[in-house]
Amino acid sequence: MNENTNFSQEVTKRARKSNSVNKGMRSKVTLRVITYIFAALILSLFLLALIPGIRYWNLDFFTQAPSNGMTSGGIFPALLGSILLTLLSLAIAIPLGILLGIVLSEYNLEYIRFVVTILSGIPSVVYGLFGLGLFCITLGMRTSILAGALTLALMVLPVISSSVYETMHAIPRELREAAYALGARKSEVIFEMLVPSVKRSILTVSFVAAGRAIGETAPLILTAAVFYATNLPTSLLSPVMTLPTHLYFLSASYGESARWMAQGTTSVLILFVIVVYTIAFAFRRERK
Amino acid sequence: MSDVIIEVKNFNAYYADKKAVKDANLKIEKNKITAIMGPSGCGKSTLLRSINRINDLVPEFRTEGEILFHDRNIYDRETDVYSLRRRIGMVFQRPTPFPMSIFDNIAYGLKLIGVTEKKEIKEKVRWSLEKAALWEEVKDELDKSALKLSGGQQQRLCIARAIAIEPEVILFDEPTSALDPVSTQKIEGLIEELAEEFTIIIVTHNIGQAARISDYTLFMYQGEIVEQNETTKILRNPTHEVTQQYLSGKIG
Amino acid sequence: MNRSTKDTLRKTLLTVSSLIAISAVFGIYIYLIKESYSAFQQVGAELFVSDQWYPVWDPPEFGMRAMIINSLMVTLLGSLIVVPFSYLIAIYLHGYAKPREKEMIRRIFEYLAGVPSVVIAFVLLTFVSPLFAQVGIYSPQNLLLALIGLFFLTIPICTTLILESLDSVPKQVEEASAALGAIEFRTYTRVTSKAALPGIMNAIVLTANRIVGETIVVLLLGGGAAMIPQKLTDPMKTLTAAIASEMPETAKGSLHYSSLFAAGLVLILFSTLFEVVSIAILRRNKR
Repeated sequence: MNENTNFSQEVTKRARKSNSVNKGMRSKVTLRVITYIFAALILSLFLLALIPGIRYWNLDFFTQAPSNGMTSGGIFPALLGSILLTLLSLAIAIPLGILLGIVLSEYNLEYIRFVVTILSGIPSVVYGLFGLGLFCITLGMRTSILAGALTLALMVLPVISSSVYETMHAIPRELREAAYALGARKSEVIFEMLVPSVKRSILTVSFVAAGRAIGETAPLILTAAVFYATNLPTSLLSPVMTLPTHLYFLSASYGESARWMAQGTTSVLILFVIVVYTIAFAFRRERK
Repeated sequence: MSDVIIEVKNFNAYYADKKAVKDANLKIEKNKITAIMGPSGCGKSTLLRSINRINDLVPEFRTEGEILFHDRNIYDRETDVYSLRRRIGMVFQRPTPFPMSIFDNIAYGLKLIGVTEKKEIKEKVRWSLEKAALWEEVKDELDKSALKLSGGQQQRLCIARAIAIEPEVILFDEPTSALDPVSTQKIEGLIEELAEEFTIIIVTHNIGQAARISDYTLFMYQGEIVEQNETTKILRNPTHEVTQQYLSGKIG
Repeated sequence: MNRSTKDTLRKTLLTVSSLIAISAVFGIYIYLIKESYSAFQQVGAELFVSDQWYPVWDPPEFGMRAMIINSLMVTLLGSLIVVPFSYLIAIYLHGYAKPREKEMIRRIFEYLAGVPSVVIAFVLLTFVSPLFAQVGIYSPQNLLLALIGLFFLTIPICTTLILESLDSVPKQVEEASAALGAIEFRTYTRVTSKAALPGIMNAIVLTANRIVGETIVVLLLGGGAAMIPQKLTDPMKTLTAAIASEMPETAKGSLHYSSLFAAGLVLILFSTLFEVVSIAILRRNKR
């Protein structure tokens, strides 16, 4: 086989004759086209979510409550509700998530890892059912911010703890050993050396969790959100409106007349998401 | 008269802005074993990997100058690099078995060159494993996953895989540095045998290895080929100061 | 606070967090079982055998079978559509895209991953659903529309997970394939993908889990008919959609309420199964 083929001829690609190079080019081009088509579709989705609703943004939109059967007014209560709910659920989830992340990373307990993996996969609406059963009914919170925040906190807990686990676990063994060699106890090594080392990633994942919490709908429909809140929330036990649930109710129950408000809300939501994730990515890049 | 089948002419190689190989000139003779030696970072691997253009896969790699294979510049625009790589094979530093059975590892390359008949594949698999001194050890377990072999066996499998497609030249990039002495010895013996049919270029940081098996040696330092000669001459009488220092262990 | 007290406090906090996680899992299961108990008792096998889901009729019927099948069907079809495209895009990003290009496209996908499902649903409802009506499809919300929504929802995680698996294959193994003269596409599909197979399978399982648990997209886009669609343009309702849409109006403690909890129980069983499979795949890979 070797003797007979002239290497020169075989190796030269003459016009369209070489099989491999053409095949190689064809597959590359095809894959590139597919990738760019979908990237373009995704960008269109973002644009369709963001642009149409911006024209409804004005001071009233952000400061008034909806009125006249959703044909006028604004989304202030939903905005407020979303912010309160997100802050409250993060306030619960972040400390817990850090603690749980520490346990996952520094204590070799197979079953805890198993438990957290199971929790991370449970459908959001099932969390809603649990929140409804436990917080709203058994513990008597009714439809309230508190019930919603507790439910949401439980939902983002695996996200935060996994991220803390991954960054903490990646810290080389030698650093821990150095701390121990100075006479530190395990809890001191953890809280005084390891946790500060992963500060930046905690910040990053907090923003990611915030993005998640702001966008959740189903569990809040069951535990915290109401279609229309006549008053602003007065206490932790008041029901709230949130941006995603408001959007959901508008889409599901209202037709053309409320389309404008739905569009305005969508634009707000997607802007929130873009901002929050951009901040998270900025933190992430700084770390690297 | 000896045949030169590869000639490197005024060759420079860059990773982004860093020049890894400076103005290299050398000739490789057919059916001889040429060793490239030098301390870490001297550019020997880069030079080797440029010969089968596997460095094309490294982002921001670029070259100047020519490398001629059978008097054709392999870096000119018309070269079919895939064809080139079927003519110039490579064995890497760490054994790189594919996550498949031993049989499929070798069949992979055969299918690439268009061998489709089962009978022929089986024959070639056997032939290459025999040449790589691995046949006796694995002949009853060809369906076993290649990942289950020992390091030395995996490397011999990689050699078998490379020779199965009958290249003209085989490039070895520090093939025994990750292996134990016994496997190293086996593979060195293998390489010597292979030189009867193939042209071998081997990068090694082990002076003893170069001494044991190579006919010619080039010594590189900081991207440049400092000295090149018949191995026996270079080792006995290095003319360059840097070569001397390397051989006596003063620089590593 | 002295050193020893701090130590005890910290250890307690760590223990508490673990207990919360463990009790959460058990708690969720227990609650679901507890609240669905009366449905099992009073409705029994009919829940799983009958397609007739008419919870507000008189007399009410609680057959979840159609919705269970819909949930599974949507998962299967959704995965079948998303996975191949995610795979091809991941291959492109892994082996062909230049570093900056790769980063930019990854970033676009990561942003998409953060978009709430209600936003995706709304956009499709507003811009795509009317197109269906124009073309004469009688139900502008249907299985197909839901699948499109699910596609956008899941393509980021699927692509990202597959890409990470491909990227984790040692470069020298890919080079070994190239060194035999294989074109890049062959290397990536025959060698890299084989090496990354556990990661790819895990990506598929996690994608399926995401789909089965999705509520809003299938609710707003699926059409809400508790029947098994015969064609892509038929409306349908999944378990998740039923729970989210019906529970707010349901009297707490009623049979309807309990049946919805039974639906939730079925869902958590599916998702636990997916997660266990995922853990098994990753564990086998670790050896």
